[in-house]
Amino acid sequence: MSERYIEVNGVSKRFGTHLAVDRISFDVDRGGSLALLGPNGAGKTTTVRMLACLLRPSEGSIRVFGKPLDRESERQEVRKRIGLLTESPGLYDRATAWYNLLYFARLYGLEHPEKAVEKYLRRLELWDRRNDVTAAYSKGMKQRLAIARALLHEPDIIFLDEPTSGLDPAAAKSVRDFLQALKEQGRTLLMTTHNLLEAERLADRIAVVQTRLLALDSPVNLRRQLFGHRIRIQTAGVSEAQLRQLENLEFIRNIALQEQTLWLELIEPEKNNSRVISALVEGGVQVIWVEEDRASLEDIYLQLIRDSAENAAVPSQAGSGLGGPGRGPAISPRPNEGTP
Amino acid sequence: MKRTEVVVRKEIKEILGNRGLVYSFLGLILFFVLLPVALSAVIQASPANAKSDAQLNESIRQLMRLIPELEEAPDQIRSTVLVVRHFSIIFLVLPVIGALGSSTSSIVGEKQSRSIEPVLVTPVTSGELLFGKSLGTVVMAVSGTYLGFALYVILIWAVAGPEVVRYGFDLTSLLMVGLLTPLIAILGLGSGVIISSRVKDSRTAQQVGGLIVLPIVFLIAGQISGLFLLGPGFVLVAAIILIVLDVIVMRLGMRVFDRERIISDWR
Repeated sequence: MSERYIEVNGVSKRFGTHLAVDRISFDVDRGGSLALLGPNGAGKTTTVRMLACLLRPSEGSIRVFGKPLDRESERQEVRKRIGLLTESPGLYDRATAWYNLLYFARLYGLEHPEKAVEKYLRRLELWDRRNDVTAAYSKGMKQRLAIARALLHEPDIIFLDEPTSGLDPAAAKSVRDFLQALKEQGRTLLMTTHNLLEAERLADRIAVVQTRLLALDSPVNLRRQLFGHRIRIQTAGVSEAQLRQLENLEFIRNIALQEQTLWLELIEPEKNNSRVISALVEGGVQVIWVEEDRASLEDIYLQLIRDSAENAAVPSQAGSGLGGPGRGPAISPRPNEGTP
Repeated sequence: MKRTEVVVRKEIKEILGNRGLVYSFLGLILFFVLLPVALSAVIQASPANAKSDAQLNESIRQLMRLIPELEEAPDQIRSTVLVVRHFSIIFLVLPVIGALGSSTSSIVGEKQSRSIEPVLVTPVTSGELLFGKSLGTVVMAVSGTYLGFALYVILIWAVAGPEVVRYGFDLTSLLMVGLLTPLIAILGLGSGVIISSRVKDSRTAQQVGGLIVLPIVFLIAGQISGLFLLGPGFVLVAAIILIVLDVIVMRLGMRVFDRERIISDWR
């Protein structure tokens, strides 16, 4: 049985009258990775700060490594085993990269602080610039140094708040590759991001949040639950009569036609894909090509945020699956999708 | 290495690396040292200046009540001792400015660069962090003041001779600078911590914190105007009041320095 590293149960956080986080629940197993996805002000950073023992929840409970975070002694123990990459690198600009890391290695009480600093400066390709003050560093270098700082003490859980925010594509890729390597090493990752591709690449599961938890699942399951299985069929042309014939097939849940392209949402697509093609061919439709129409994470995200805005008064089904009603939208071609 | 020691070392390194802060503090120390030294040199060079003022004569009479040995001394010595004692009290401004400057620049600097959050994720306790920052700041402010005062004594000795040093830097002066300097530095530091948590830039923090200098300015004005002349009893009473104020201010500082408050309340 896998070990549960993070357990969040009905946690809310209020700052005065402002409700930043509303009764969210989720968990992350050892070696797992979760991305918190949501718009600005959705409570992602506040959630991470509660998990990193910086803020206390107003309601609900958090357990990290099985320890409740109620007492300061428990929080102190947890702090030794977690690392946080903050949204802003937060470096000492007048100090060198070497000293920036050495200070933290000593704060963590490492037995050989210099060795740990050297290891991570080399791993993040900053060794040659170790004696430069960090004010002279590029944004990407600062971010890599901040990552090194979060890893110096070999934490079991790494929290990453917007790890590639504001970086140019090359710097962002270098950071993502490094995080991917950490994930492959079996580190437990919890990240917040706006970057949907990053979330999909680095996280096993995605939690869409907007103050409350809107959805929590793997990207594949989120697609299935929100949009079902869809296929796109390019034809030479479909007549009204042929379309009506298709509508009569019981395993087709939804159908849409745009010019010569058919979008179909099927029940049990693995079983029924071939039956659709047969029906089309038998009905005299000339099929040019067929492909699975995968909803992008962006579609899922935007749909959830849209639904959340529409159903703001409906309480969430926090913890698993999709929260809120209104799933299974009318099938329609998605934006940015043209015929090849 | 203990975490408090790690923080102290880092604070001292940060303060020494802040050239603006270091140079302005050194400049102020030199000004406070050179002004009375120059005045003493003028009195030594032209003895007529030593008894030309009625208010000065009243102050000298007060001085002689405090130090009867000066009855026999020439006017030049009496006037120089008076100047030296008047200006000793100005050194009490230095620990406030030093501690306030470095604490506000340290805390506001950490807020501006957002470097405080990664520190708070480490196992360092709020107490260790505040104590470490405080110790670093107080050590710098106090050592700067002591060094400045030592330089002051040496230069006065060089300009006015050993007799002025003997009477000018008596028990009152030594108690005042030796005992009150760290207590005032702690007050400046605690105020700096509290004020820094509520303001966005270190200049505003220093302007607000500068109000702490006012009681010292009152003492300087009172003594120069001949209203009173500070003795050892006054210094001991001031020390007790400062200890009480230090405890209050540091307790408030501890409350402000809570992780949750730093993350959510600090602006």
